[in-house]
Amino acid sequence: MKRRQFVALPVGLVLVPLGSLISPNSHARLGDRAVVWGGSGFNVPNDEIELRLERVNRSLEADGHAGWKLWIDSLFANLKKGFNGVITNGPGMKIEYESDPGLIFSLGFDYENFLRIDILPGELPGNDGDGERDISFYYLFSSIRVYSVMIPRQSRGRINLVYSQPVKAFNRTMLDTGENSENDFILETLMADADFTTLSKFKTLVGRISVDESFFEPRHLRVRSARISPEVLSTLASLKLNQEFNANFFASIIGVSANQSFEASVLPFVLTDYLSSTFRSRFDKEPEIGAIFKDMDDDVASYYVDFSVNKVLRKISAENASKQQIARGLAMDITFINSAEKSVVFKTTLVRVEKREQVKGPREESWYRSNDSLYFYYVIEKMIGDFFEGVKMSDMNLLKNAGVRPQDVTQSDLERLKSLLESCRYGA
Amino acid sequence: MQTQTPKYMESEKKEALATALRERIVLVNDIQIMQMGLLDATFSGNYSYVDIGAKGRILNSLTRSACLVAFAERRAARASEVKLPNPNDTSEEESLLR
Repeated sequence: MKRRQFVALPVGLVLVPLGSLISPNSHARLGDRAVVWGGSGFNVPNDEIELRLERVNRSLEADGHAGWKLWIDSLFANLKKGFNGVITNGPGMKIEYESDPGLIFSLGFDYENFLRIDILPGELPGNDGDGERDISFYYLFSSIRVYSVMIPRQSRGRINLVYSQPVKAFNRTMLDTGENSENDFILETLMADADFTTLSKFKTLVGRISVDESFFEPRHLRVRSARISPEVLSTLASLKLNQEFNANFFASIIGVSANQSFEASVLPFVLTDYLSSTFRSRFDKEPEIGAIFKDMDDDVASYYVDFSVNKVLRKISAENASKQQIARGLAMDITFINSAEKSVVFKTTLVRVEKREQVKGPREESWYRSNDSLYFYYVIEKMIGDFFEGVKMSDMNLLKNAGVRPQDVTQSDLERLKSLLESCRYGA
Repeated sequence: MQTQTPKYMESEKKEALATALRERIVLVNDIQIMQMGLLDATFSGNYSYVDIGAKGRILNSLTRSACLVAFAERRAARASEVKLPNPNDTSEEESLLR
């Protein structure tokens, strides 16, 4: 398996110093290789954290960063429990320049969306009928990355991205309007004892990765170029959805869908410099290690995905006295590119429309916005999810759900794309 | 994500329409009884021309209003039960997007 070198991984992780979590006894060696904790943070530039990941940031920082402490505790506890090997150099613990950290685990947040559908008294049956609580949804996209590090001090070092797994956590509940309730809800989505959480995805991955297998590096996919046409931006702005439905959102959905269907390693869309900034600061001799990182090749993706969202549609397709039928849909071009050969491997247009009934009535604007947000999300997730699943299964019905008609692709096109995506599977 | 948004006031609206329609029919029936009284007076020959003319105009106006409103409410009640088209037929919208 081809190994690659790089310096600028797309990670902007903020390391949380929690050295006290690590027992001195865990500072063991596994031959030449050990496993270290790489940190958890945000895959967006620092000045955009409050804009793009406001909810998760606020929930983790509440009560004097109690959420952060709990979150890092949980991640590291699961790493220690789930990983089949020895863990050393935990959070806050400087790595010796002369040592070889082996595998590094880290987790960064990519994208979030929180929405609330207001409920009026009497609209729902039973205990929910008092109107004091609203239906609330939260979805959070993150990336779990595992690196393999080899740093011979006399020559160029080598850091390989063993695996980058985008994950999605989704939660919904009836929620009152208090800030504490919201924070608890976000933290529940992150780390409750349930399958839907980010933590459970981390736990599953940790159990699958082994030190030996870390020598095998799959190819990596990365969304390189994202375009949203001015017409689409204008329509989304008129629906007040332009903040949520941004390039990072589409890229996150593509990453999670490719991973779910093919277990593909997908790099985060937003590029921040993890190795030569944050990870460098983990070492006791920063300038020396920084020089090694600086000398590395920075191109790690074998395949790129470029997409362009060209059209979006939201219209009332029919109505009667009490209800409206609303059509929501969009069209996007998606292209897969071989980065080494700079050639297009596959290109198509995805289209999906869904019609849903919505009752008429005088409501707050946020109610309409939340419904639009929810159902646009559903359209996009289904369209992209069915596309990757359709490629995997060679299922024309699934591809048709994504707007890919039989006349749009040939069997050999699909086989070529399938082969590309399968080469990105961990252990492939 | 498979969730049902609240069926806002749907059943209440239908019930309100049905109640209004029933009440309107009661009013139309009442007006018919009043018309019968006027008719009886006319055929009895025991009436004042001035008085019965004014009463007739008022009753006609009342009848027209009640019937028009009842008609509108009946149409609204029927319209609220009209089924919306098949949501799976998205061909028109898809061609707009392509």
